[in-house]
Amino acid sequence: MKRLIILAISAALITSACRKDIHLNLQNASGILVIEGNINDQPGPYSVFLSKSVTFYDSNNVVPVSGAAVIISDNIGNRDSLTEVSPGHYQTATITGTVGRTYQLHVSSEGKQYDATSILHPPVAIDSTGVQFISFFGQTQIRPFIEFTDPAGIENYYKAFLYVYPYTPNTVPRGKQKRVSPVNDRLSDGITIQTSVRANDDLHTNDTLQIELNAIDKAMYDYWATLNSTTLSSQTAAPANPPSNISNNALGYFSAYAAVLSHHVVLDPAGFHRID
Amino acid sequence: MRYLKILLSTLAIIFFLPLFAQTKHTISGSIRDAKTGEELIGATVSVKELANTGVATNAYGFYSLTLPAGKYTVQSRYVGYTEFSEEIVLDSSRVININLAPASVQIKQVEVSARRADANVKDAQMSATRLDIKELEKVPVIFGEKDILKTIQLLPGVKSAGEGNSGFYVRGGGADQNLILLDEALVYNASHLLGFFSTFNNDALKDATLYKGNMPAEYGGKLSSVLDIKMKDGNDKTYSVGGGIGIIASRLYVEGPIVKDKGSFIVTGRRTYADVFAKFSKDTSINKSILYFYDINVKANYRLGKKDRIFASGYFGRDKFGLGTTFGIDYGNATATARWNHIINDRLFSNLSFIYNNFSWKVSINTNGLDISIHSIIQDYGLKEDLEYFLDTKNKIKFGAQSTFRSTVPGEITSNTPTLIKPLTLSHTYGWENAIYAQHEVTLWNKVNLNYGLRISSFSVTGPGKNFYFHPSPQPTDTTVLKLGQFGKTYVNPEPRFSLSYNFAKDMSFKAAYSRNTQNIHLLSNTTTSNPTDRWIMTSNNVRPEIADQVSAGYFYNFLNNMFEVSFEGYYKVMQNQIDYIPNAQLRANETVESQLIYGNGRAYGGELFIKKRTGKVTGWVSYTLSRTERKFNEVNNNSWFPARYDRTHDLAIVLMWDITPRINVSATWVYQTGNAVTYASGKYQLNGTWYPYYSFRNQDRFPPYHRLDIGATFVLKKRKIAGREMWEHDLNISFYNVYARQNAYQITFIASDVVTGQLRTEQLALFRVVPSLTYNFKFTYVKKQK
Repeated sequence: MKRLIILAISAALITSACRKDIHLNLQNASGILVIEGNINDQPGPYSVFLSKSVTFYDSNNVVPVSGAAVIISDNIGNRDSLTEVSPGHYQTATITGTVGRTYQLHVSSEGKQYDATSILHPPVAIDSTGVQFISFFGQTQIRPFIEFTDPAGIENYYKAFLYVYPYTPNTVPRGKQKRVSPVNDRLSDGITIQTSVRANDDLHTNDTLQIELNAIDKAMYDYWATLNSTTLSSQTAAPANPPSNISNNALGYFSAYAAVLSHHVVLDPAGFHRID
Repeated sequence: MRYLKILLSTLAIIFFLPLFAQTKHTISGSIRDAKTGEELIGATVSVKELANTGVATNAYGFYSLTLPAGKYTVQSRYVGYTEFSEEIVLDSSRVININLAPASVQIKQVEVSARRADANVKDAQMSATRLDIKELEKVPVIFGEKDILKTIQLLPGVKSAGEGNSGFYVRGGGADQNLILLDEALVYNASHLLGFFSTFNNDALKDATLYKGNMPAEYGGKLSSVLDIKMKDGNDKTYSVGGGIGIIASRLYVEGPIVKDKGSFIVTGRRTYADVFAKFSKDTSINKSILYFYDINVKANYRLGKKDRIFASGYFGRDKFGLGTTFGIDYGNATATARWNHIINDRLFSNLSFIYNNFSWKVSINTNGLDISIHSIIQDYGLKEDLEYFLDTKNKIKFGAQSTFRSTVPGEITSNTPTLIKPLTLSHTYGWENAIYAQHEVTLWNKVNLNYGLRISSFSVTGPGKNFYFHPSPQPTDTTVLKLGQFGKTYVNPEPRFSLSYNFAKDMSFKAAYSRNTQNIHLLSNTTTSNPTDRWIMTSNNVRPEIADQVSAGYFYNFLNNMFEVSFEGYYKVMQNQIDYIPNAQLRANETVESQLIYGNGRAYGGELFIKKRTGKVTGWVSYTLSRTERKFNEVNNNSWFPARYDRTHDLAIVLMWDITPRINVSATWVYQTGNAVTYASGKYQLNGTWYPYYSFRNQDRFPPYHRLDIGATFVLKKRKIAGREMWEHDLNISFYNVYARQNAYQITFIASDVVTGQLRTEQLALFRVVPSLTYNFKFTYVKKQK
């Protein structure tokens, strides 16, 4: 909202707000273990990625962490030692993601132990998929959204994100979009929740869209919500890292979730239409 | 009340007894501007025959001087006015009302301080500045809108909240720790348009004093400062209409007598019109948008006989912003004060005030037929009684009591589609704040002025409403429900206040002070700029009263017949029960918002240098502050002290005003500030193909330094004579904000620039380059023909 008002003021006063890239003299902290682990209710294998943080102005090459012992187990005694299939990429063999189970991740790397727990909550069905067109200062924003019915009487947490498939074969497939929309039912328990998701960049006519909805646990909701509100926001007075559910000060997360996919919709000159 | 009785009788025994030794009589009355009838605050009355006797008029222009019987020459002075002198034989107490004539219009305009010239050195009060409303008109400001809150940011110890912002921080205190009073009513949100303008229209203001701590015992309720603003009473002799037309806003005021010499009124209004230009746009999201604010100030007063006077004043202002039909926000303050001045006897002055104030906001959202509206209110009803006892020329006692009943509606959500957005009503909260105070101002050995007092404040959580207990869990561990009239937790805090000045040489003094302040209303804001929808919460079971203790000492020196004023002050302040937030704190629409808070301590210390040239063709000042402000929380930076966001080591302001001719005045302001403390990324990491910034310690980095030059010029145009009388006065004001177009960082963001590589970059946003503005001011005075 604040950004809207600042924009409106700038527009109204014809003043000259200006943006430029700057180089800052930053503190350098690097070498912290980053763990990204997921397990879901779809068939495996599931992956865990290990890497290290780098200084801010380093090149954008990931520093993988090899040779770690990575184990995923569940609350009924299944246990799977992951295999390193490429540097820093560890894969499961036997364990399956099942709704209602609690999963544990254990990582042993360079003499340190890291542990995390996540619960695989039941999936929540998507009721409908649509696209909103919002006119704002001469520009139209395209906002794909889904609606789903929140189970009443319990706390639910979700994240939603977008897949974009261009219709024309000549362009590069854009696939899974990086922006995550975390949702909770704190103010909407038991009712229909409408959630819009955003693309990395502009959407175009003929783009095919699909939205994935994940039922996640509270720790993972806090992680994604903090990432959006506190880590990436320019408005926050105290930027901070998202709270990791992994012990021993590792960055990243271990998440068990149930996934549901929406229908495909295609943007057309009249708006959008469903294709399945 | 029992405290008050004990206090008063103690004071009576100590100070009243020696007075009955000799026959004394009292001269009392009020001092007014002969032209407008406005009471003059801080004008002096003294007698020529007795050195070092003199009193200053109080906030209502009343004075009282008790002397032994005899023959005297009574003198009254007020800078910018011709001196009054009259010989009297004092054989009984008498009333002398004095009308001081402005020296001349020209001289008045070059006066920098319209007050007792040496008050800053002699008075016990330190860390205080009385602002000259006329002087404010000369200082160049952004968009040409003269603004008291922006001008005080040029004083030492006062820091700006940001580019073009009217918010301010005093000696390490937060933006919500300033007690901003408009005719005694607390103004919760003193800004318009996200802080670019203050709610105070200069046309309506008579007097303002800023206390940077060490405030007298009559003030309380906020931790770091008091900005006591008094509205004009209105001219009780002639009618006049005035105003101004600027690029952003236009102003208009009307003032005049209700009954000549008995009562007067003033009405001022101001409205911005940025949205008028939007109407010309073809885009419906623009031409249907609204963006404006307005302020209305109204005041009237009437003298009922010789001993009583009543005042009614009010302020109403709102901001309206609407984006097409999809989004709207509407917010503002309303205040009302009714006052009754009563002269109980020629030495005892009483004022009783009824005070109401309210701040509310409403947000409406309309998308795809879904209508949501959220609103919130905070309001106070207060009663305040202040008594001033003018014991003799060396002693003055002030005492009084204040009671405020406060309620909040933290947020109510209504929706036309409950299946998509659930209506929500957060539990309303109620609190009762009380205070009694007494203070004694005394002059000892003609060289020492001592001012000591005590304020006892209390805060009670009252019903109806739900109260939660959190400690130590983030989930409520217990909930109590209070019914209407029931009391929850009560906090009582004694707040001692003490200040002293020692005039060890002519126009030179050393001052020292100590004070404790408490605060029971807290603003929750975890963003870089304050938002009108930020939530105010009261002290509760979990949130304790904020407490600040401040000691300060300083050296004050005036030279060349008070043409120059120099002061150096140092302070050290400790703050308890300060509030911060957990990461991703949910401060909105949250019944258990207190679970999102963390509590810690603060400390602030620094030195302030102020050099001012007060008279002559060139006037102005240099203010420099060297300071540190730190905070400490268990949950942040391993419980070590870290700089507050607005900790700025160096803060320099230079203000120059030059009257080239009586008609042309130019001015310039240059400011330099160390950049804010800020948390930058100290590394990065990749997750799911995206790079994210990594943060280590809070506020370990600095924004680039901020500096800026503003210039302005005022051209007083020729007065227009109508029917042979001077009735139409007007001037033209031109100003340029940020003349050398420095791109000062307003925001620095770490953002992903490239979708494919997910590369991060650092982007700086600067709000303004050069901002020119033009304002035309006018005043039309109706003068009756001389018979």
